[in-house]
Amino acid sequence: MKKSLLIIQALLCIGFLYAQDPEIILSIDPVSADIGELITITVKSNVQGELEIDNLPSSFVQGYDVMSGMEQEMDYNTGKVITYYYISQTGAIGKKGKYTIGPAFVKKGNKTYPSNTIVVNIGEKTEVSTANVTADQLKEPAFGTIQTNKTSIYEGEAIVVFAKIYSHFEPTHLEGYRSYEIPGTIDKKELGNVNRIIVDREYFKNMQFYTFDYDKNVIFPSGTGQFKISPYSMKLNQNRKGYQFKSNYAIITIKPLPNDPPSDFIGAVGNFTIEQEIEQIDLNQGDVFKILIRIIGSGNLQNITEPSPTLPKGFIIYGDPEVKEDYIYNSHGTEGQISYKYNIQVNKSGVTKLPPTTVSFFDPKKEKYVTVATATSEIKVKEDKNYIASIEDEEVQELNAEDFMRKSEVVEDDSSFFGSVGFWTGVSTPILASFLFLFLAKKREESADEIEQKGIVKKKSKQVATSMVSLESQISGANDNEFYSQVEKSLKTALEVKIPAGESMSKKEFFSKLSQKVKEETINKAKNIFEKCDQFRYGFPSDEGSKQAILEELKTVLEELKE
Amino acid sequence: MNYWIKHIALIFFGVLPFLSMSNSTFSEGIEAFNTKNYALAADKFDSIISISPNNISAYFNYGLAKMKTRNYGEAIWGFEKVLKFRPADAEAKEKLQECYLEINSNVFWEYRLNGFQSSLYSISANAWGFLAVLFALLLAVAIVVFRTKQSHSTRRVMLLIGAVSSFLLIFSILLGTLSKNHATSDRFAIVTVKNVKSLQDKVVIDEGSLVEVVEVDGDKMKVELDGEVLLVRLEDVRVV
Repeated sequence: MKKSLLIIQALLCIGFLYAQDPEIILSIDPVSADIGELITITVKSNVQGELEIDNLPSSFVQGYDVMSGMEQEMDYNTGKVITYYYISQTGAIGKKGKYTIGPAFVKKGNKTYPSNTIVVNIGEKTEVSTANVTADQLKEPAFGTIQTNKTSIYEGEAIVVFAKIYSHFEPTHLEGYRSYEIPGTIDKKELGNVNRIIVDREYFKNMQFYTFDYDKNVIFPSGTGQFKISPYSMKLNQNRKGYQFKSNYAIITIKPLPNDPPSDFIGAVGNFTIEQEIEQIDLNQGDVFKILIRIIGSGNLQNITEPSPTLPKGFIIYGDPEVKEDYIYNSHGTEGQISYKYNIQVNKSGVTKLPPTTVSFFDPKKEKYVTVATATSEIKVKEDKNYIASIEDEEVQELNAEDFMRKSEVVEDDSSFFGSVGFWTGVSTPILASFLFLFLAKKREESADEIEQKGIVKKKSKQVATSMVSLESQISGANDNEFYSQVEKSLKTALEVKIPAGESMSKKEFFSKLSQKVKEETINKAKNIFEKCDQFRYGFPSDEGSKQAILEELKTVLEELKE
Repeated sequence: MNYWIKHIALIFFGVLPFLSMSNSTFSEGIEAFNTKNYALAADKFDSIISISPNNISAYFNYGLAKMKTRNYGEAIWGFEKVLKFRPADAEAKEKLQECYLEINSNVFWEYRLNGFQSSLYSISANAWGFLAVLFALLLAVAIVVFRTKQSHSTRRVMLLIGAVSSFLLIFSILLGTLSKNHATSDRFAIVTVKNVKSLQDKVVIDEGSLVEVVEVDGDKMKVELDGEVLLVRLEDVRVV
């Protein structure tokens, strides 16, 4: 019994070792194509049986190119040689959309084995522009043109370029192909199956040609301006005979992007959307969680820069994001998605709303920058009293701080007061007022002196008048000395009205000053009176007539002085 | 009476709605900036500048928005306008430095006014004007007291006050004039567009270049840059 069990066990082991799992592989090339573009569907299986694909789309038009056969491959892990059976079918889908093709089935006896499924993306037919073909070229056995889906594109936008060959003879193969070139282009990806050439017949300029497309590439030119796509050359053969030719060239214009890209512009040109996923929304303070941001769309996806998530205060990004690229090249450029996974530490507790993260791209169809944003999300962070945010974290926050806008503030008009009439009035008025004060003060002092002087004059005039009355009465008197002294005094007083006599002023100086104010004749008369008075006082005695005469002279002088 | 009614009506129906519109546009500008719609924010602040040319914050915020859209020439113009109002504004100077580094990382920008000049011009011409009036009053008082007082010591003090006041009066008028000229002159302009070519000899002028205005002729402007007179389109430059 024990022995028989051991034998069964050994047989099972051998069975497992040698058993070959049925393997049915469905592959499609390319998985992204335009309407009418040929795709090749291949089913490969290690099980020999009846191969069939059931659910091909209704718009799928089967081509003439069907291949089937078998091939052998070595499994290097087991050292076994595996035989694969395959069937390959070409065709084109005539309607735009996403198609799930498969599973394919392999029927062997009563058993049916399914394959995987593949999604094929069919886009609008790419319009191509043909370069000018000359009449001479049409007469040649074969000629080639460079065809592009656009003649004018924006910087970063993709362009599809391929060679189209026209031939009057049915070509069997080609050799010595030298590809076209766009100056400065480094980003160039092949489209379709390069090894497969499908010759077609078509009318061009009222002539029937054998035609085929070759060397189809999607190109992301760099730089701006007009670029010349240099010609390609090849030898097109029909069996042993061949014809060497060089195609004509093509011109494309690359326009620069508008001047004012938004700050969240990620260098994307095409059509994109953004999605955000948060791995965990209930966290503890200090936890690190992941935010996944996906940029999905078509254009120059392979060249975009990473978006920067908008985070509130207390959230810190750690390190570089984990980047996952999943895209294919097709006539739209690059189509698919790139995801960025950010590690974020949360330092702040409470319920926090994460603001939307925005990115901007340039849409060549709309010819403007378009901003797309993620939805807002809420994060609940439980407070951890033992957690202390490190100083470094705070510094990082400071560095990430937004530029703060200023509140509205209108400054005064600088020219409103300075230099105005009010200003000059304000400056000049106090100064002018002070000078006016000086002037008035001086005037006031002068008038005080004048009043004093007038008082003196009045007093002296009064003295002279009194003295004259006294002299009239003394004419008949005997005291000559008194009379003449009185005459001298009266005349001196009268003269002092004109020139106030200074203590230190000599007689000569007095008369010299007097000459400026009084006539010379009057001065002489006065001098004469003084001399006569001296004579009569110290000489011979005088009579009444002399006294009367000198008094009359005095009166004359006094009258003249009054004038 | 009618005069006052007319003026009050003017404030209510003319000025106030205008101010309120300006305030709401300002808030919209900030809102647009916060939602990262920088192009819209710049438009909003530009419209405020055209309504209220003395709104210093509008110039600063316009500069920030234009920086975000990488339009550094326009941003430089905004910050230069801020410095025209406040020559010592450190934040505006810092932003200008950032803009020039973005345009050309090899060029270290320096403001054309030194620290002392910046501080002096920061005081408005009106402030200098009020100081001048004050010094004129002081001088007048000194003259009057000097004339009326007989005491020699008082007269000496008044003489000193008068001399200092006269000096400060002249200094205030001089600085007020300079400050006013700085604030109101249209001497300089900023090239706001990338790679502007002069119209006569196709000389390329860098974005953000400060040029001296020589003459405006229709839709063209004659400017001087490094001693060379160039003719540019009016739309490519903005007078500071």
